[in-house]
Amino acid sequence: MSKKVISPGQDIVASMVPEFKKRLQEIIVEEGITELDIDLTGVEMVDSVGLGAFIATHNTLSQKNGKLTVINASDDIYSLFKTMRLDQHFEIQQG
Amino acid sequence: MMLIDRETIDNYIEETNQSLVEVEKNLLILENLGGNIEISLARSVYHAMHIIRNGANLLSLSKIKELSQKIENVLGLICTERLTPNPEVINILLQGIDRLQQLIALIHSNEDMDIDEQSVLLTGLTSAVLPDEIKHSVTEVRDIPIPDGNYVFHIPEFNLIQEIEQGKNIYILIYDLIKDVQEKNNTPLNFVRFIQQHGEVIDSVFDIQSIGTLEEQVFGSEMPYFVLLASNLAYEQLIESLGLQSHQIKKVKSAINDLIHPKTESNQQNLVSAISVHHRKSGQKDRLELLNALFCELSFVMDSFSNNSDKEILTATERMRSALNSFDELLNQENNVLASNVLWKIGRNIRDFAYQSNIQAKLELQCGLIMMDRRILSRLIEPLTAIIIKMIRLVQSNTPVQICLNLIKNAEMIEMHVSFFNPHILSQETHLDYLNEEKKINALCADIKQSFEVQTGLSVLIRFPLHLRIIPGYCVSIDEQFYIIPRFNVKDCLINLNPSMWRCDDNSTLSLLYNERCIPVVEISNTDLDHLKNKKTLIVCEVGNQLFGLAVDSPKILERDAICQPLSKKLDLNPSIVANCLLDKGQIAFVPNMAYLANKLL
Repeated sequence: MSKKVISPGQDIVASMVPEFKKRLQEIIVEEGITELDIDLTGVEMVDSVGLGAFIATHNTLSQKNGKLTVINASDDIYSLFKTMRLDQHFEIQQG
Repeated sequence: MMLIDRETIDNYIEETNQSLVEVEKNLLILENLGGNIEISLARSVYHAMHIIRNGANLLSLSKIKELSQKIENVLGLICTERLTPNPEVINILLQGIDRLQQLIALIHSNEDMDIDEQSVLLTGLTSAVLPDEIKHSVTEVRDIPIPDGNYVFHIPEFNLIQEIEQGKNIYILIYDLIKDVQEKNNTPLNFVRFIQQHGEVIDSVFDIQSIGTLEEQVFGSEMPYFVLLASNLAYEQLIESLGLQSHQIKKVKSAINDLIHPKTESNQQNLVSAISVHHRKSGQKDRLELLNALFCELSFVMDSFSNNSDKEILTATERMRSALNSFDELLNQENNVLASNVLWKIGRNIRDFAYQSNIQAKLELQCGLIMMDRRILSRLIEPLTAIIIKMIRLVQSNTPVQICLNLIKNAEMIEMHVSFFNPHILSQETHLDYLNEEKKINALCADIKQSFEVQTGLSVLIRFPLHLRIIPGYCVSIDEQFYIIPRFNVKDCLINLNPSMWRCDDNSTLSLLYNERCIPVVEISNTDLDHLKNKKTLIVCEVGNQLFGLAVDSPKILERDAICQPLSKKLDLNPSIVANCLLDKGQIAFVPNMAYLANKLL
C-alpha cells in the first residue's frame, strides 16, 4: 500500500474542484496511491461540488481497495461530514 | 464562515449543565417518591432531556445525542408509568447523567470517550420493562426503503416508536445537492441546519454510486441525498416550510404501520430550542447603575474627609465602610447562590454510598433560603460528605439511618448542624475522627466542633463568618512558602527563564527584560540576588501603572480562590503580606501586599 497526504490549503468549492480533481486523479491513477489523506488545514468551507469530490475520491479508491481519510477538519466541516453521515464511508478526523 | 460559533456551543454547554443539575436533583426526588410517581415531575425531567438531545442533534454532537436519547427512552417509560423509578432504575439513569456531564465537559474532544457501559444498561432497562410484544423493539432494527432508490435506512425500532409517541410524522426527503443547494447558492451546512429546524434528522444517506468516480463524466452532475426526518409538521406544512416539490417528500407509512398505535394523548408541545441565547443585558445595566451610585457615594465620602471635625470624620468612615461592604456584596453577587442549589450534591453522594454499600441511608437537607458563596459551598461538598459517611458508619449496618444537615443564619454567622434524625441511634457516647476534613473546613475560614449529648446524640457544628474576603488568585511557592497572588494583579507569567534575560544595575536592583523593556524584580523573602536569579519562573505583576516581577519556584501556577483570614499579631508586623489563608490540604498561604511591593520600588 502506498500512502500520500494532499493539502489543498484552500476552500473546496466549485471553482477549484476541476483542478483539484485532476490532481487527485494523478495521485490515485498515475502514482498508484491507495491510501490517501486529505489534510484540510486552512480549509474553512466545502460546498456541494466539493462534497462530491470527496465522495468521488472515496469511490475511486474503493475500486482499488484503497482508503480515504480526511484529516484536520475544522469544527464546521467535521460537523457537516458527521451530520451527512459521510463518516460511514470514510474516516474523518478533527483538527 | 463559522456557522456553529463558539457562543452557540458555549450557550449549549451552559444551559445543558444547568439542566443536567436539575435533572439529577429531580431524579433523586423521584427515587424518594418510590411508587408514587409524580407524573408532572417525571415529564419535566423527560422534557429537559429531550431539549438536551435536540440541541445535541442540531450541533451534531453524536455521542451526547445517542446517550441522551437512551436516557430519554427510559424516562419516557417512567412518564407513562410503565417503569417505576426504584433505586436500581435511578442508579442507571444517574450513571447516564454522570457520563453526559463528562461528555459535555470534554465537548470538543469526547470522540474517544465511550458510552458503551451506560448504553448497555439503559437499553437493557428499556428492554426489560417493555411488554413482550414490543420488547424486541429496543434491539430490533427496522428497514425503511428509499423510494426508487437502492438504499435503505436501518433504524432501531424503539427510536421510531419514541418519535411516533411524541406525535411526530416520519418523512423521507429527497434532494439533489447540485440542483437544490449548489445552484441556489446555498452551502451544505446551511441547508442541513435549515432541515434540522423543522424536525429531527433520524438518518441521512448519499446515493454515492450515482456520484461516480473521479474518472466518470457523471461526477458533478447530480448528488442524490435522502433524509429521514421526524417532524411535528403535517405533510402540507412541511412542503411549504421547506420549499419542496411534492416528488421530493414521501410520508413513511407502510414500513412503520405496525408501530403506529392509537394515542390517548397527543404530545404537540412546542419544544423550546436548547440553544436559545440569553442576553442578560438588562441585569448588567442594573448592576452598572448600582456600581455607579456606590462610586458617587464613595466620592462624596472622600470629599467629606477634608472636614476636620472628629464627628464628621467618624461619620464619613462609617459611610465609607458601608459603601465598601456594598461594593463587596455587589461584586460577589454572581457567586452568591442558594446553599441548597449546591449542597444537594451531598445527598447524591450519600445516596450512591448507601446504594453501593447496600445499606439504607439518606440525607435530609434543610437549607431554607440561605445564600452562600458558591466557591465555599463547592469546597464543602467533599469534607461534609466524608463526615456524614463517617457518621453513617457508626451505626449498625442493618439499621436505616437518616442524617439532617440543617443551616441556620444569624446576625454574625452561618451555622451548619449535622445530626442524626434519631438522636438515640447510637447507644453510647461516640466521637468522630475527622482530622483531614477539619483541615479542609478550616481552610474555608470556618471552625468545626462535635458534641455528644444524651438528648441530642452526636452532632457536628460548622460555623462560617457572614463576611468573608475571597480573593481570586494564583497559588505559587517561593522558597517553600505558598503565596496567593491576586489574579487582577497578574499580567503575565514567564517560564523557563534564561540567565541572559536578567539585568543588574548599580543599585543592585535585579531587572528582567520583558517586551523590550526592563522590569524590576522584587523579593518577598529577603533572598539575595544570586538566589533570585536561579528562579525559573517570573510572575509579571501590575499595580496601578507600575510593572514588576515576582520570581517564584512553582513550575505550575495554580488558580485558587483564597479565603482570607486575618494575620496573627506576629505576622501583622510583616508589611509584605496582608492576609493568610489555608489551602485545601491544610498548608498556609500568604497573600502578598502588592501595593507595598510596588511602593518598595519607588
